[in-house]
Amino acid sequence: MLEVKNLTKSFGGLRAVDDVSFTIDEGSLTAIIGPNGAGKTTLFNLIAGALPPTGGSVKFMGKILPPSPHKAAKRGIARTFQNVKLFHEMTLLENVMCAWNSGPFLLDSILPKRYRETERLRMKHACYLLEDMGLGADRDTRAGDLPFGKQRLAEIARAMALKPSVLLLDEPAAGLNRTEGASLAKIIRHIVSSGVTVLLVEHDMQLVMNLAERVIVLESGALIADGPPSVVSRDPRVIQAYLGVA
Amino acid sequence: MMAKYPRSKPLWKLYIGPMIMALAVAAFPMIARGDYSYLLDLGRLCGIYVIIVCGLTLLMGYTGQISLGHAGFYALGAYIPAVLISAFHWPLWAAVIGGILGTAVISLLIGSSILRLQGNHLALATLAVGIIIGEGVSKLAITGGADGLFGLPQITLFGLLTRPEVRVLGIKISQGVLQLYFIWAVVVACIVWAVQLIESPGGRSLRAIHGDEQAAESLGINTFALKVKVFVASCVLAAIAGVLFAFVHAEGNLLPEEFGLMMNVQLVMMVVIGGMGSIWGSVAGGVILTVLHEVIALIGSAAGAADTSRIEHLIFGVMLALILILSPSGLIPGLKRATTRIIELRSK
Ligand SMILES: Nc1ncnc2c1ncn2[C@@H]1O[C@H](COP(=O)(O)OP(=O)(O)OP(=O)(O)O)[C@@H](O)[C@H]1O
Ligand SMILES: [Mg+2]
Repeated sequence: MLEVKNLTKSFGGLRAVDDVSFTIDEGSLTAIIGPNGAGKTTLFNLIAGALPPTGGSVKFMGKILPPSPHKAAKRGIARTFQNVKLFHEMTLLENVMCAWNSGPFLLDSILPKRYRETERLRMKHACYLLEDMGLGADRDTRAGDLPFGKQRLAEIARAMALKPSVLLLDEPAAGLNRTEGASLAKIIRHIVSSGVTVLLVEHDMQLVMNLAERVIVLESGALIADGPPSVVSRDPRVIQAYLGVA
Repeated sequence: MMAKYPRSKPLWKLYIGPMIMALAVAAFPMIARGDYSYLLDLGRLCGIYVIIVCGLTLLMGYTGQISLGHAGFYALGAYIPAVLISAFHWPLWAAVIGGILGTAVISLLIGSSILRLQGNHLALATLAVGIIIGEGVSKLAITGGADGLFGLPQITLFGLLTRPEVRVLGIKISQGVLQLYFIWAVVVACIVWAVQLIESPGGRSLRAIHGDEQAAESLGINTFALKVKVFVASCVLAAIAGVLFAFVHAEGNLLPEEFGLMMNVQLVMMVVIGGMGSIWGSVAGGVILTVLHEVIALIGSAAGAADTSRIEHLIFGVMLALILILSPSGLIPGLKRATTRIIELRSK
């Protein structure tokens, strides 16, 4: 359903993503790993339309994705950010509800009765999403006041509010403690079992080996390995890449 | 176990504020004694500025996009209809509608070319727009240059605003008071619209843009389109204020001084004083600064100074700098925090 073909992104002379190709099946969970600076986040930005590619393309359900994040989001590609981007001044509930923004701006502002009923249902749905993440009790807390671990989970809840077909998670376990990490694994499994295709960038190898059916390894922008975790973890180039930076 | 879900705020609560405001304005001439024509003048001006600041607060406070050029759109709202009347002999109401639509189109063109800029760049671009329009109306022949335009027709509301006084239920209401009511009726309408917008899903999207543009985009919010929409909306409010200035307040004599560089600064100060984050703050900011302006002029003339604008620039400049240094969230939120601190200290 997601087809990445000869995708390349250069920043000046630096090739952050270098001729990467792979295809992702619907409903799968794929991990993308690689040393720091390998180009994982850049790859996500390309898929989510946040950066225009220098070369190559990303096709989603057979159609090329436009380089525009809001259009990608409307097409069903949701994401989280490596450095959590919640709306700090809003409550968690409002954060989640920001995913529901369609509606005629001017008409809604003139006739508030129009959206009352939909908003009520949305609020309820947002509560369910937060409860799914174990954040039910924090729904009225200002996002900026929450501990980092909860912020990460809230960001996933917000992304899920888009009812995405593809979810891009950029290092969701970074900064989580052990219990939070364990519940994260459960949450990701739950999301995959609900039919969402998940791409997971993660440095936590235990989580990756535990969850992923397939692992793609990037190094200096290039794809150096692609296969089931057990095979990839024994690949000499992968071992080399990780030892090289260690 | 049944979980409890939060209820959305009841709609009627939105209208308490505007109602109180409307009642306060309605009561004003009944409470005021003596010759208060001067206060009426000030009250009308306050209303006009509150309309602009209300739109500017949506743009700056809620969406996080700065504009240092809204005096330019205020000027367009006054001058486009004035020119349509004086040079092209349009009827008043057609000219007014033309002025507001014209400002909307111009602000759409300007907004869609500069709103991709961020932070300081946007500030400079909007400042340039404000200066260009302000200089334009004070130099062009068609706008009467520095002499302005004279003898413009006034909005009469079917003769209501031209009579020296009107009797309603046995109460005499003078022309000045009716004009005040008319302007503040528009103010209340604008504020009702603004609070409704803020409560709507679209208003939430505006706050999302302010919070984090990338995150907003990732949730499907077309941030650029939305920024352009609020920008145009805020410019239309400024244009409405311009219409009220030229065709109700200024009594037919439109001078370019009102729309100078200082007006841009003053408008931003009103927003900053109000704390950028609430419509009611912006109302307070607008009123406070307009009154301060008058107080400075009064003290100045009592002290025998012919022109107080220099000293006023100085006072406003120092004030703005102090507010931004001491309380970047705005004067009113700062005062609120300070008073709670003092109360806390007292109770210890
Ligand atoms: N906007 C940008 N402009 C210039 N260079 C960039 C930009 N974004 C990323 N880079 C560079 O591209 C390379 C890949 O960065 P990227 O963030 O994709 O790596 P990553 O695999 O996500 O690393 P990490 O594990 O540290 O998150 C890095 O060398 C980075 O410095
Ligand atoms: Mg990264």
